[in-house]
Amino acid sequence: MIGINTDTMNQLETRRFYRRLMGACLAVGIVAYVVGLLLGYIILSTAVYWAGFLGMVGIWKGTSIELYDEREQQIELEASRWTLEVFAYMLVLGGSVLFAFEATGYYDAPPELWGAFYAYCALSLVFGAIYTVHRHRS
Amino acid sequence: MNNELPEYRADAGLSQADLAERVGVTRQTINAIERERYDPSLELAFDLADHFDCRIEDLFDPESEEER
Repeated sequence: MIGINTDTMNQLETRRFYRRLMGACLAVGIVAYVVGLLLGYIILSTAVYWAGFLGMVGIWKGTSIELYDEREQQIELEASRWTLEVFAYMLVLGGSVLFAFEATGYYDAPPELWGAFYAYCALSLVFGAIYTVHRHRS
Repeated sequence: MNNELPEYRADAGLSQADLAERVGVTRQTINAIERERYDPSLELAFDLADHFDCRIEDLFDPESEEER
Protein backbone atom coordinates (compact mmCIF):
# COMPACT_ATOMS: atom_id res chain seq x y z
CA MET A 1 0.00 0.00 0.00
CA ILE A 2 1.29 3.47 -0.84
CA GLY A 3 1.54 5.85 2.09
CA ILE A 4 0.85 9.47 1.20
CA ASN A 5 1.56 12.15 3.73
CA THR A 6 0.02 15.46 2.74
CA ASP A 7 1.54 17.14 5.82
CA THR A 8 4.84 17.46 3.97
CA MET A 9 3.15 19.15 0.98
CA ASN A 10 2.57 22.87 0.68
CA GLN A 11 -0.92 24.22 -0.02
CA LEU A 12 -0.56 24.15 -3.81
CA GLU A 13 0.87 20.62 -3.84
CA THR A 14 -1.93 19.39 -1.57
CA ARG A 15 -4.51 21.04 -3.79
CA ARG A 16 -2.92 19.48 -6.89
CA PHE A 17 -2.81 16.07 -5.19
CA TYR A 18 -6.51 16.13 -4.29
CA ARG A 19 -7.48 17.35 -7.74
CA ARG A 20 -5.52 14.53 -9.38
CA LEU A 21 -7.16 12.08 -7.02
CA MET A 22 -10.58 13.40 -8.05
CA GLY A 23 -9.64 13.15 -11.72
CA ALA A 24 -8.37 9.59 -11.21
CA CYS A 25 -11.64 8.54 -9.53
CA LEU A 26 -13.68 9.89 -12.40
CA ALA A 27 -11.33 8.48 -15.05
CA VAL A 28 -11.44 5.01 -13.51
CA GLY A 29 -15.24 5.24 -13.39
CA ILE A 30 -15.53 6.28 -17.04
CA VAL A 31 -13.03 3.69 -18.32
CA ALA A 32 -14.71 0.94 -16.28
CA TYR A 33 -18.11 2.04 -17.61
CA VAL A 34 -17.04 1.95 -21.26
CA VAL A 35 -15.13 -1.33 -20.91
CA GLY A 36 -17.98 -2.86 -18.93
CA LEU A 37 -20.52 -1.85 -21.56
CA LEU A 38 -18.36 -3.31 -24.34
CA LEU A 39 -17.96 -6.59 -22.43
CA GLY A 40 -21.63 -6.78 -21.47
CA TYR A 41 -21.26 -6.13 -17.72
CA ILE A 42 -23.79 -3.32 -17.75
CA ILE A 43 -24.84 -3.26 -14.10
CA LEU A 44 -21.30 -3.76 -12.79
CA SER A 45 -19.89 -1.06 -15.06
CA THR A 46 -22.65 1.37 -14.03
CA ALA A 47 -21.94 0.63 -10.36
CA VAL A 48 -18.20 1.29 -10.83
CA TYR A 49 -18.98 4.48 -12.74
CA TRP A 50 -21.22 5.67 -9.91
CA ALA A 51 -18.58 4.73 -7.36
CA GLY A 52 -15.96 6.72 -9.29
CA PHE A 53 -18.24 9.73 -9.57
CA LEU A 54 -19.28 9.58 -5.91
CA GLY A 55 -15.62 9.16 -4.94
CA MET A 56 -14.80 12.33 -6.83
CA VAL A 57 -17.66 14.24 -5.21
CA GLY A 58 -16.74 12.79 -1.80
CA ILE A 59 -13.18 14.12 -2.09
CA TRP A 60 -14.40 17.45 -3.45
CA LYS A 61 -16.99 18.08 -0.76
CA GLY A 62 -15.39 16.09 2.04
CA THR A 63 -11.96 17.63 2.22
CA SER A 64 -11.27 20.76 4.23
CA ILE A 65 -8.65 21.73 1.63
CA GLU A 66 -9.72 24.55 -0.69
CA LEU A 67 -9.28 22.79 -4.02
CA TYR A 68 -9.61 25.86 -6.23
CA ASP A 69 -8.14 29.26 -5.57
CA GLU A 70 -10.28 32.40 -5.57
CA ARG A 71 -9.64 33.30 -9.22
CA GLU A 72 -10.53 29.79 -10.37
CA GLN A 73 -13.71 29.99 -8.28
CA GLN A 74 -14.57 33.32 -9.87
CA ILE A 75 -13.99 31.90 -13.35
CA GLU A 76 -16.33 29.02 -12.50
CA LEU A 77 -18.97 31.46 -11.25
CA GLU A 78 -18.67 33.57 -14.40
CA ALA A 79 -18.93 30.48 -16.61
CA SER A 80 -22.01 29.31 -14.70
CA ARG A 81 -23.59 32.77 -14.97
CA TRP A 82 -23.00 32.91 -18.73
CA THR A 83 -24.30 29.38 -19.20
CA LEU A 84 -27.51 30.27 -17.37
CA GLU A 85 -27.81 33.45 -19.38
CA VAL A 86 -27.47 31.59 -22.69
CA PHE A 87 -30.08 29.08 -21.54
CA ALA A 88 -32.38 31.88 -20.41
CA TYR A 89 -32.24 33.51 -23.85
CA MET A 90 -32.91 30.17 -25.51
CA LEU A 91 -35.85 29.58 -23.18
CA VAL A 92 -37.44 33.01 -23.53
CA LEU A 93 -36.89 33.48 -27.26
CA GLY A 94 -37.02 29.86 -28.39
CA GLY A 95 -39.97 28.96 -26.17
CA SER A 96 -42.17 31.75 -27.48
CA VAL A 97 -41.32 30.81 -31.08
CA LEU A 98 -42.18 27.17 -30.36
CA PHE A 99 -45.58 28.12 -28.95
CA ALA A 100 -46.26 30.55 -31.81
CA PHE A 101 -45.39 27.94 -34.45
CA GLU A 102 -47.51 25.36 -32.65
CA ALA A 103 -50.49 27.75 -32.40
CA THR A 104 -50.36 28.78 -36.06
CA GLY A 105 -49.79 25.23 -37.26
CA TYR A 106 -46.77 26.46 -39.21
CA TYR A 107 -44.43 23.93 -37.65
CA ASP A 108 -45.02 20.97 -35.35
CA ALA A 109 -42.07 20.77 -33.00
CA PRO A 110 -40.83 17.23 -32.34
CA PRO A 111 -41.17 15.87 -28.78
CA GLU A 112 -37.38 16.15 -28.31
CA LEU A 113 -37.61 19.92 -28.75
CA TRP A 114 -40.45 20.16 -26.27
CA GLY A 115 -38.41 17.97 -23.92
CA ALA A 116 -35.51 20.41 -24.20
CA PHE A 117 -37.90 23.31 -23.60
CA TYR A 118 -39.28 21.75 -20.42
CA ALA A 119 -35.74 20.88 -19.31
CA TYR A 120 -34.83 24.59 -19.65
CA CYS A 121 -37.94 25.46 -17.62
CA ALA A 122 -36.90 22.99 -14.91
CA LEU A 123 -33.37 24.43 -14.90
CA SER A 124 -34.75 27.94 -14.43
CA LEU A 125 -37.02 26.79 -11.59
CA VAL A 126 -34.14 25.06 -9.80
CA PHE A 127 -32.01 28.17 -10.23
CA GLY A 128 -34.81 30.34 -8.85
CA ALA A 129 -35.26 28.07 -5.83
CA ILE A 130 -31.53 27.96 -5.02
CA TYR A 131 -31.23 31.71 -5.54
CA THR A 132 -34.14 32.37 -3.17
CA VAL A 133 -32.66 30.13 -0.47
CA HIS A 134 -29.27 31.85 -0.74
CA ARG A 135 -30.88 35.29 -0.70
CA HIS A 136 -32.68 34.51 2.54
CA ARG A 137 -29.49 33.14 4.08
CA SER A 138 -27.26 36.07 3.18
CA MET B 1 -6.71 47.40 -10.49
CA ASN B 2 -3.42 49.29 -10.65
CA ASN B 3 -0.81 47.61 -8.51
CA GLU B 4 2.83 47.61 -7.60
CA LEU B 5 3.00 43.85 -7.24
CA PRO B 6 5.60 43.25 -9.99
CA GLU B 7 7.92 45.85 -8.39
CA TYR B 8 7.53 44.44 -4.87
CA ARG B 9 7.99 40.91 -6.17
CA ALA B 10 11.10 41.86 -8.16
CA ASP B 11 12.56 43.66 -5.14
CA ALA B 12 12.02 40.53 -3.07
CA GLY B 13 13.65 38.40 -5.80
CA LEU B 14 10.62 36.16 -6.12
CA SER B 15 9.17 34.55 -9.22
CA GLN B 16 5.40 34.53 -9.74
CA ALA B 17 5.41 30.84 -8.83
CA ASP B 18 7.32 31.52 -5.57
CA LEU B 19 4.91 34.24 -4.53
CA ALA B 20 1.91 32.11 -5.54
CA GLU B 21 3.17 29.27 -3.37
CA ARG B 22 3.67 31.56 -0.39
CA VAL B 23 0.18 33.05 -0.48
CA GLY B 24 -1.56 29.83 -1.54
CA VAL B 25 -2.87 30.68 -5.00
CA THR B 26 -1.89 29.58 -8.48
CA ARG B 27 0.87 31.26 -10.50
CA GLN B 28 -1.81 32.21 -13.03
CA THR B 29 -3.65 34.17 -10.34
CA ILE B 30 -0.53 36.20 -9.50
CA ASN B 31 0.02 36.77 -13.22
CA ALA B 32 -3.61 37.89 -13.68
CA ILE B 33 -3.33 40.36 -10.76
CA GLU B 34 -0.08 41.81 -12.11
CA ARG B 35 -1.62 42.23 -15.55
CA GLU B 36 -4.65 43.90 -13.94
CA ARG B 37 -6.99 41.28 -15.29
CA TYR B 38 -8.13 40.09 -11.89
CA ASP B 39 -8.83 42.03 -8.69
CA PRO B 40 -7.89 39.98 -5.64
CA SER B 41 -10.23 39.45 -2.70
CA LEU B 42 -9.61 41.46 0.45
CA GLU B 43 -8.22 38.34 2.07
CA LEU B 44 -5.64 37.79 -0.67
CA ALA B 45 -4.80 41.51 -0.79
CA PHE B 46 -4.13 41.41 2.96
CA ASP B 47 -2.02 38.26 2.54
CA LEU B 48 0.06 39.93 -0.17
CA ALA B 49 0.51 43.13 1.83
CA ASP B 50 1.40 41.07 4.87
CA HIS B 51 3.92 39.09 2.86
CA PHE B 52 5.68 42.22 1.62
CA ASP B 53 5.29 43.91 5.00
CA CYS B 54 3.52 46.93 3.54
CA ARG B 55 0.03 48.44 3.56
CA ILE B 56 -2.62 47.36 1.07
CA GLU B 57 -2.75 50.87 -0.37
CA ASP B 58 0.99 50.71 -1.06
CA LEU B 59 0.39 47.63 -3.16
CA PHE B 60 -2.96 48.41 -4.77
CA ASP B 61 -4.43 51.60 -6.14
CA PRO B 62 -8.11 51.39 -7.14
CA GLU B 63 -7.95 54.68 -9.06
CA SER B 64 -7.20 54.28 -12.72
CA GLU B 65 -4.74 56.64 -14.44
CA GLU B 66 -7.63 58.54 -16.10
CA GLU B 67 -9.38 59.19 -12.79
CA ARG B 68 -6.36 60.94 -11.25
